[in-house]
Amino acid sequence: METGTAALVSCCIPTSRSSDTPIDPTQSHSRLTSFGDFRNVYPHRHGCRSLSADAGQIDTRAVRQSKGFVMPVQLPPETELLSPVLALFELPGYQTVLEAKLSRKRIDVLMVPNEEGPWISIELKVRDWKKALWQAAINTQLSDRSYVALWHTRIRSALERESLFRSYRVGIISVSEAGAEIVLEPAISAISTRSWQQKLILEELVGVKGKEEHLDTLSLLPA
Amino acid sequence: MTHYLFYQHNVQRFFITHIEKFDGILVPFSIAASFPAGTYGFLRALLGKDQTKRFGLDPRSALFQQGWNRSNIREPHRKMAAIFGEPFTTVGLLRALTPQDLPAARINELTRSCIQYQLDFKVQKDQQRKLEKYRKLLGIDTVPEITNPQHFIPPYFRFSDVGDEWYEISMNCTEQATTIVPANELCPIVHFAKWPTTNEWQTVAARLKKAGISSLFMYPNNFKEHEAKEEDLQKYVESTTSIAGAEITAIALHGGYLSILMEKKGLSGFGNGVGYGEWRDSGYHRGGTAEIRLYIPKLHRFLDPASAQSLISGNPEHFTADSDLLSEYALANKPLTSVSLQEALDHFMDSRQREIETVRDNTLSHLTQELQDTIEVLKDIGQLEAETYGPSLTRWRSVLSKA
Repeated sequence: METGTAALVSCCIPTSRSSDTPIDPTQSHSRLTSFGDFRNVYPHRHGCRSLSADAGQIDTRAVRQSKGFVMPVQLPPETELLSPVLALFELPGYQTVLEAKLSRKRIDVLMVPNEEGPWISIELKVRDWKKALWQAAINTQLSDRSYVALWHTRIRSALERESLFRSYRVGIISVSEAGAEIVLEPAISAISTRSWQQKLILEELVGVKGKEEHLDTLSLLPA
Repeated sequence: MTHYLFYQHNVQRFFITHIEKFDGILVPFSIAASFPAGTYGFLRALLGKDQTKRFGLDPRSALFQQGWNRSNIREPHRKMAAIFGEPFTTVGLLRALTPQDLPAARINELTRSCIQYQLDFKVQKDQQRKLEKYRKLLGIDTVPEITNPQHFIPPYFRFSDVGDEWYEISMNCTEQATTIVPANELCPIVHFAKWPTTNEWQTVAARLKKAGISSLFMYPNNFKEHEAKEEDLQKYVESTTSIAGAEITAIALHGGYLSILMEKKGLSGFGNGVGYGEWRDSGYHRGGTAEIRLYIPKLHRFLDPASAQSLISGNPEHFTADSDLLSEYALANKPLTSVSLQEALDHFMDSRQREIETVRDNTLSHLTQELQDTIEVLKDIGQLEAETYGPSLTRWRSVLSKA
């Protein structure tokens, strides 16, 4: 089992890249970090526990019926959504934080501008769009643009409730084997506490980066 | 409505600051046994400051009938077992106790040990250094002996049905306890896995009254007021009215706002933890510090700060109306994620007191209308808020509105 620095490195994925460059989650990149409690960083691909927790689900709703047989559709693990989503946002001047902590909740992907620019958050879900929407709605307390990223087979049911997404000012990203695309842009909303909330997160992020350096220095890899 | 707080040794200052906002204090055996000097010293000073405050020590003996990982038993549980003696110290630390582990002779010994521990608690030899510390902390001149009214609580176990083996053992413990302390000072905990029927409560009440018992704690296992189905809420109402109708004082061992509302149905008191702990699974054996949660008075529930902020931004006027803390944060545009643990605990205690006073001073129809008002506000904010927070308020309103 990987521990310490190895686990940390496995969380770091480049966000800005040319489209023909394959994403290698094991490559370190200074602009991407895990913002969770490092002790909870699991050495899975992308190093994020919750992102890999529902790997390979069966979509029991999306079934094809043929001659009385029900054929369940295999959904990809949540981690499969991450790379296409990151590729979609090729934003220079941003840090991408995985599993950013917002009180007791974790934001799957948070993109923080180094200077000026909107904060962007994305909730990754392969199937449960309503749960993702709820989390994404809470994320608007922090982010200026909040999205849910869903596997493409679940997009239609989400778009059937487009007005609900609009009412919560949450956008939708469709993810497939071919990549990710925005199918609904989020409306920009004004939240009175947001800028203060962003300041708090930045302070925490600075603290975590300090901790990261500390971890690197100490090297927690087993001897 | 008598409000009991469960004692936690790590927030002693909280009990001092809010001393006028609760009526009684319940101390789990695990804490009393693990921190005997500190618990005794603090409680003696606290109870000396207000000699009307009631207190009791909760044996939590039901823990040992449950199947939990005993490979790494915590010290508080070893000390609890030591109070009870065998078979707790032997098989109880190795596996879940069965009714066969507690024959009549064992029940007598167990009950005697448990009650004697409670009797001895208030007459411990003075530990002058500790007493002096707490005397100063509470700002009192002298620390008198404990003379406050004490609830003696016999050992108890979780039963599935009135009449089953665990029920009989629990009742036998209570009956045995009447030979040790006056029956009117006993307040047994009736701990059930599912709500007894009205008829079953009549059976329970008749047996307790025959033994001279005049009050009891109701303890439905892991009963969460916001998650309970309407049929279980209905049974809560029926149970309360049944016990009160039998002229037995009914107290909910763990409860929240619904339990406060149950005053209108005959409930006399309820207990909760500091900042959390409105329910408890008697098989829960782990400890730990709770994360910050914010009590939302209009919802009568705790939310994590981010969810609380999201909700309040939907209708600040409504959701901050009953809280100084929430109002101050909203006015300053300060995010609730920056609320400190101390602020959250103080806010909860203020909110709880306000809830108790509101229920005391208003009719049930007024109170259920308040629930309905919040349900309407949630609908106006959005579908997800209404679906997430509305159903429990709707269920409460429904069962309470019935005659």
